[in-house]
Amino acid sequence: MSSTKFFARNRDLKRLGCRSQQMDASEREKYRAAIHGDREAFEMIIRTHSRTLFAIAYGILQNREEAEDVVQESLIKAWKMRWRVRDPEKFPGWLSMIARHRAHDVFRKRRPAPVTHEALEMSDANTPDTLAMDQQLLSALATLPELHRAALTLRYFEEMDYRTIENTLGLTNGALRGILGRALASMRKQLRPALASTD
Amino acid sequence: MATVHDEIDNWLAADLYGELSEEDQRQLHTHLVECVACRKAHQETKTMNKILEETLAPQKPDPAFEQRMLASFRNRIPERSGLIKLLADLMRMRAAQVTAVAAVLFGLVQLGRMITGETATPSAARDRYANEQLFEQPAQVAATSKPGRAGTLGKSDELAATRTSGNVHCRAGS
Repeated sequence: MSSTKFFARNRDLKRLGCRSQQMDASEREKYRAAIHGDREAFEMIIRTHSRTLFAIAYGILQNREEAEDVVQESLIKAWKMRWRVRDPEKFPGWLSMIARHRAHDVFRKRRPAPVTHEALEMSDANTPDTLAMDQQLLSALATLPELHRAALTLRYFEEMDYRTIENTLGLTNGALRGILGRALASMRKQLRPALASTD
Repeated sequence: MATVHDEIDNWLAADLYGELSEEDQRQLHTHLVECVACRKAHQETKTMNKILEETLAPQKPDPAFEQRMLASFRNRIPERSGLIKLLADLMRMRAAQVTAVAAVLFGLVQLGRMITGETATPSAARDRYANEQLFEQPAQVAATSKPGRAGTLGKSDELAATRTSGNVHCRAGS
């Protein structure tokens, strides 16, 4: 389905008062079984959701190893606390929330990374060199609020549409439009000199 | 009402990620033709998107990521034996929790009765007994009550007698 058609379909569904991402019966049953302790169902959820959790954790931490640890711990916590979820439809959102909170805790406890001489040189250079550009882009990404970073990584890692990102991050309808707009605008401003040199 | 120019950042992001309808796309591109500043922002956004894609691509998890997550889960949460698993899962269900609490309360009540030696008296019989006592005449009460009786039953007899005589006095007065 083309993105334009998808957006138009979303609008139609919204007008009709339907949720485009309504969970189908089999999916609902899978979450219900996992909540009731079905290991096989939970392992299926690990297979389908661990990349999404990684994207959220990476967005907040910008470190692959830490993000992977966060996903592992979030899954363990979710298994131990699964009985707290009463509505199976809320399970994916609840899982994402665990990962977000865990990543936030790791981020808070983390010692500030020492700024190396090379990193400083790279950020000052403003060269069109790819490595320097990557470094500047990651630095610009790091200045964004946690939620904005998580939304961006979900988009770039998982190629999720707006509605899916909103459901995953538990955002209200339409909030993501502003979040991504502000995130891209902020990065654009920070990277303007470098972007001009690449044109 | 906000124009495309006022909310250009949101429009550019939505356009980039394919979230605009055909009508919205037309509206945006009409504005971009007219506005130099927004056209420049549009170009910068597209360039930045390309760099973002290239920079973030190597950071994506490798193909074995899910398997690693599964293995880690299996290592840290080993599967339990049948009976323990059944009991643990049962205790997590709301109905089982309510039943367990009710069973504990019932047990405590029974224990209390065993200690105090009190037997459960059906409430209907207790009420009938109280009514009989209430409508007995004070003289009859005095005749039936034995001076040697003590304890709660004797006291309740006295109380009933007092109330009845009080009622009689009130009726006589009126």
